[in-house]
Amino acid sequence: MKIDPNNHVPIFLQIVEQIAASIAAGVFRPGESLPAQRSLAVSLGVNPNTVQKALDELERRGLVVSRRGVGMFVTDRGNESALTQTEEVVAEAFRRGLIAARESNLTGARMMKIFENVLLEMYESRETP
Amino acid sequence: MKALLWKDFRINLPVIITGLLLWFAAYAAIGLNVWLQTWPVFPGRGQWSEVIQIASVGGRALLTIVVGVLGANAIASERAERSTEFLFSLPPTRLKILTSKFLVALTTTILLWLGHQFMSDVVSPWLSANGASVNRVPLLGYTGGLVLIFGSTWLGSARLSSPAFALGGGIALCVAVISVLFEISRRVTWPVPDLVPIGMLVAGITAFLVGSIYYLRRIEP
Amino acid sequence: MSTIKGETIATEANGPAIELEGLTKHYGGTAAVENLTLAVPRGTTLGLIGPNGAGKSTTIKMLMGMLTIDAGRARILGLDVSENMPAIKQRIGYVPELHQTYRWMRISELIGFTRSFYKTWNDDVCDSLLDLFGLDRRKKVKQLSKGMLTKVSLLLAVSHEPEVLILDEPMSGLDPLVREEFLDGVLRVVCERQCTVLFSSHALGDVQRMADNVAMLYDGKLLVHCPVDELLSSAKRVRAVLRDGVLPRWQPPETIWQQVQRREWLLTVNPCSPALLDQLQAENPVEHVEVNSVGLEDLFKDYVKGRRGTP
Repeated sequence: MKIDPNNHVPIFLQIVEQIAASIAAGVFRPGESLPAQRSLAVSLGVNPNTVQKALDELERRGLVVSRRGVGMFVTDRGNESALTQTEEVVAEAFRRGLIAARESNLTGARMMKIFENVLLEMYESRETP
Repeated sequence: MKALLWKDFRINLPVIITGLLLWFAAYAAIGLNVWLQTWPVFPGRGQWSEVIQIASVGGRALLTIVVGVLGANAIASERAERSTEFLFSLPPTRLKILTSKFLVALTTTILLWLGHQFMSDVVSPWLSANGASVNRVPLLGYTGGLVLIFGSTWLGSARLSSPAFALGGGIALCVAVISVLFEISRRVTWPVPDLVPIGMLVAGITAFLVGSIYYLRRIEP
Repeated sequence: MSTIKGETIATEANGPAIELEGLTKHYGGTAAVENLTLAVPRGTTLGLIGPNGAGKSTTIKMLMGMLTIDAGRARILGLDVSENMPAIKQRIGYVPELHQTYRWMRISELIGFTRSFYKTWNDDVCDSLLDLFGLDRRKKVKQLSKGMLTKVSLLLAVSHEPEVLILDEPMSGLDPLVREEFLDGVLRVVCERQCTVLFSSHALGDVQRMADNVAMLYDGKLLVHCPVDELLSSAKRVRAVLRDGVLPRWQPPETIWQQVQRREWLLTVNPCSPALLDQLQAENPVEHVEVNSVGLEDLFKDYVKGRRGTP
C-alpha cells in the first residue's frame, strides 16, 4: 500500500480504498486480521489517528470487525463488500472521465468507442503471453 | 546544576588553561631574568624570596586580564556559538544557567588568586625574609580592580554578541570608571579614604548586577 | 480552596494539551501574531501552516517562553507558559528550526548533558532512536551534517517521553530521505504514547500525512482551523464558463479566491454546498459549472492569494 500525500483525496479515504482493494484482491481473506493500527501508521508514514479513522470507516462499511484488544478482522462478507466498494470506486472513476468527455461535448457514440478501445488495449496486452 | 557547571567549565577551558599558563609564566619569566643576571651562579634563597614576591605582583596584574576574558566569555560565547536557544529550551531556569556561569568564573579567579597568595605569603617568607622588602599589591585596591573588570566585561557579555566585543566594551567601561574616580578623588577637598578602590568595587558590583538582570529578562533573538 | 484545586487538576487532565487565547505579539507597530485563539486536543497533531512571516515561529517561541507575550494567554497541559515554564519543559519536547547546539560536544556528551535535566529520561527510547537513525555517539556535533543534526535534535527532544512535542519547521532544507527518517522517528514517538504534536511546516504533503488538524496563519491571523479531512472534503474548486461578454454578478460569500480569464471563471469556495452551486448558476450568466476537489497545497495558495488580493 502506498498513500499519496499530495493527492486531494483525504488520506483516511485513500487508506480505506486501498485496504478495501486489498481485501477484494484476497490479500486479506475473511477471518484474517489486518495489521495493527500502529504498524500501519509507521509503514504508511501517517498519523495513527488517521489510520484509526480509516479502520473505523472500514468497520462502518462492514468490511472488517474489531475484536476488543485483539485487532481488526475481515468479516465473512468482507470480500464481497470490498468488491462492491471497488465497483463504486471504478464507477466514480468512469463518472470523472465522462464528465471530462461531456465538457468537450463528445457524443455518446464516441465515448463508447473510446471505452471499447481502452478495454481492448488492456485485455489484449494481458492475454498475449 | 552539575551538568551546567561541566558545560561552562568546558566552554571556558581555553581561558582557564591560558590563566594557568600566565600564572606560571609570571614566575618563570622573572625567575629566569634574575638568574641570567647572576649567571652562572644560581640565585640564593634570599633572591628567590624577592623574585617570587615581584612575580606575584606581576601575576596578579596578568590575572586581571584573565578575569576580564572570563567575564567577557561568560554569556557572549554561547551567543556567538548560537547554543543559547538550545540551552533555553531545556528545563533549567535562566537564574541557574547564569549562576553556573558565574560560579565557574568565580572559582577559576579565586583559585588563581589563592595561588599567588600562597606564593607571596607562604613560599616567599619560607625561603627568606628578604621578600618582605618588596612593595605588595594593596588588597582593597586590587580586589576593587578585579571586581570592576569582571563586572564590566560581564555586563558587556550580557549585552553584546561576541566575547571580543564584550572584552573591548568592558575594558573601555573600566577605563572610563577609573578616570572618573581619579578625577573625583582629585577634586574633592574633604578626605575620603580609599575612594578609588571602593568606587571601583561599587561600580563593578553594579555593572555585574545590571548585566545579570539584563540577561535574566533579555529575549534572545 | 481544595475544590478549586481539584477542578484545576480535572481540567488539566481532560482539557486541551495546548491552548492559545487571544495570543498577541507586536514588533514595533506591526503585529506578528494577532489575537490568536486555538486549542490542540490531547493526542492529536496540529499542522501550523502559513507563508514566511505569517507568525508561525513567533507563536511557537511564545509557547516555549522564548518571547514575551504582549496580550492573551498560552497554556500547555493546563499550565500558563509565562508562569510555569520549568515545570512545562519537563513534559514537552522542542525541535527548533535551526538545530544549533554545542559544537564541541560528542553526541554521547550532548545526550548526557540533556539527560541530566529531565526526571523522566528513558535510555531505551534514546538508544532505539540512535539505532533507527544510524547515529554514531562518538561523533562530535561539528562533524554532523544538517540532516544528522536534525535527527539528534529530535532524539534529544523525545527521549524524556514528552506529553507534547513542538516542532518548528523541523524539516526545512532536508533531503527527502532524511525527511522520511525524521517523520518515521516522530511517528514512532506518536504511536508509542498518546503524544500531542504541534508542528509548523511549509511541506503541505507532510502536513496532510501527519496532521489531524490544520491551522493556517496569514499576517499573524488565523485563516482556517479545522480537521484536514474536513477541509479537503468541504473546499471545492468551481469552474464556470461565462456567457459571451458578461462578468460574474454574484460571488458566494464562501469564496476564498477567484479569477476571471476570458470566459472562464475559477473560484475556490469553502465550504461548497449544492445550494451554493444552485445560487451561483441562478444569479450569474454562466453556461455550465464544473466542481472539482482541491488539494491542500492549492488550497493553501488560494487562501494566500485571496488574502493578498483583498486590501
